This record gives sequence, structure tokens and C-alpha cells, in this order.
Amino acid sequence: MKTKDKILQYSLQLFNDEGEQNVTPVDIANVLDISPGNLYYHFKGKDPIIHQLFLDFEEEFLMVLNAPIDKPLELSDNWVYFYILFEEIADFRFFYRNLQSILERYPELESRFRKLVRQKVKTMTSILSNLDESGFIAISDVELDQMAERFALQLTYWPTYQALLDGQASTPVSIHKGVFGLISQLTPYVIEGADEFLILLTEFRDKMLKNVS
Amino acid sequence: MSDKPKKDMDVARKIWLAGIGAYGRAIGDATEAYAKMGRETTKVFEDLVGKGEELEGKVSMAAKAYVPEFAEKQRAQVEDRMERMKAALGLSEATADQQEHIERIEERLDALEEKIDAILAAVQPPKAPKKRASKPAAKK
Repeated sequence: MKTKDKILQYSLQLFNDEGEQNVTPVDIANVLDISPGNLYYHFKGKDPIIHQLFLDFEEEFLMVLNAPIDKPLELSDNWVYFYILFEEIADFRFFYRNLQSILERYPELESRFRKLVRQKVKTMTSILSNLDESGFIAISDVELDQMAERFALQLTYWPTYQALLDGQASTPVSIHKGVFGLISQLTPYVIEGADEFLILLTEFRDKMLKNVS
Repeated sequence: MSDKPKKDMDVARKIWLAGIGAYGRAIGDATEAYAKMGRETTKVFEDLVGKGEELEGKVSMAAKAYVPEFAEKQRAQVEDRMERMKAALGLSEATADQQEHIERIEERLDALEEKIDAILAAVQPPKAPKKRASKPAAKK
């Protein structure tokens, strides 16, 4: 692996584990066992590292959000798709946990991040429209828009909430809970068999949790 | 809002439930049968549903046909990732025995296709195109 990629990889890990504001360029150089001068040769400080990490995250996340998948009708596929979205965010949690502070310090990332959140809303809207159009749920346009926004909101603030309430939970456990938190909101809109749906969904979650604990 | 024929909704509901039904518990014979449907067969079903969507307006169909090449690539990448994640979450094994059921399911789908054709013939005239895009996030 190239030194530059290594720097990015270890920086991300350090930021996630220690909190970005607690990590200095010297810490990064130490972990990598390279001289601060060598680090400086690749990145002129922490700012360009964060910038590059964001660009990488943005590219990957947008790819998942934009993938023109005609959302599979099977719930397990939907579960997996949401899982991947949560996982992307978990991998970039240092940023999400500290949004306000980071965006204040790196204003050039703010509009890009805002776009990303808007794209989340769009993707959620099309997933829900799909479920509506295929006759699984019946939901008014107003409620659908609200739910899409709520989904995007939950995705965005999930790492903060998770750290606040249950910092000890492993990532897969909290992701499964997060996915359940989204999908279970469909229950009142399920056209037929809403009770069955919730029972099956809960059992499915428990099974998933059992697999990862 | 959903105003498709009821039969259509029913099948869609069962297929949606199939994903969890396979890991939860059977919710009746019908669901049990659908629970064995794999990715292949849901695709066939989607094709059937697609026929219905044809009636919903040529605009959205035209949009569907216009998928840039890079988007195709991305779709493949993401689908691949979903497959890997499915395996990692232990969701693949339950569908391992799906092959032997596919033939039976195909028969059912043939019958279903006839029914849907009949329903489609009854749905006149076609609805005006929906405002909301029916597919996620193809770049504008």
C-alpha cells in the first residue's frame, strides 16, 4: 500500500477511535511509524487529510445512494441496502459525531455535505415511492415526504445518538437496530397484515442480532 | 397513492414478506411458497409488474431506458456489494435450496402472468404519468 493511502487509512481509524479533534499530525506519524516530515510531504497538515477522507467517503456513499437499483421487492434486500448505508456512515463516524464543529472548521465541506444529505432524502423518497407503487404500503405524498426526511435524519444523526445512549454496543448490533428503526416505521402504512409484518420484522431483527452477538 | 388492482397488491405484499418469512415463520401456505422465491424469481415478478407500469405512462419508461453506462457500472458494483453483505449477514444460505423450487414457481408465475394480463386489459384508460420518479436517483 502506498504511504499516502496508509496515512488516510490510519488517520480515519484514529479519528474514529479518538475523536478527530484529539488527534494531531504527530500522532498520525507516530502510529504509522514515519517522520512528521514524511507525513508533511504527503499532506500539509490535518486539513488536507480530512478533506481527502471526505472526498473518498462522498464518492463511495453517493455511489450507493445513486445506484439505479430498482429496489428489490424482498425485504431482506431492503434490509441489506439500509445496512450498507448505515455501515458507510459508521465507517465515517468521526465526521458524523461532530458535524457542527467539523463543518465550522472546514466550511468548504459544508455545501458538499448538505448535498449528500439531500441525496439521502431523494433516495429514501424513491425507495418509499417504490413500495407505495408496488402496492405494499399506502401512503399520502405528504406523509411520504415526511418519512423520507425522517429516514435521512435518522441516518445522519444515528452515530451521535448511538454514542450517547449505547456507546458499548458493537457496530453490527447498533446497525441492525438502526435498520429496524427505519423499516418498522412502515408498519402503519402496510396495506394488509400490518400485525404480521411487525411480528415477522421483529423476529427477523432478533435473528440478525443473534447472528452478530 | 396505490390504486392498482388488489390482486397485484396482494402478490407484492407476499413477495415483500417472503424475505423475512423465510427466516421468521410461515404465515400460511401462500407465503410459504413465496418464501422460496429467490432473486431470480422476484426479478421475473418485477418484469410482470413492469408490464403494468408500461401503462402508467411512456415518460417514465423512456427515462428507464436511458440509463447511462456509468450508472450501469455503479449498479453492478452496488449489487455485488449487496450480495457480499447478504452472505456476510448469513442471508444467503436460506435461499440456497431455491433452485429446486424455481420450476414450480415459474409455473405459478405463468398463471400469474395470465391473470395480470387480464387485469391490465381491464385497466382502461392508462393513468397519467406519476410525478414522482419511480426509480431511485438516476442522475438528472
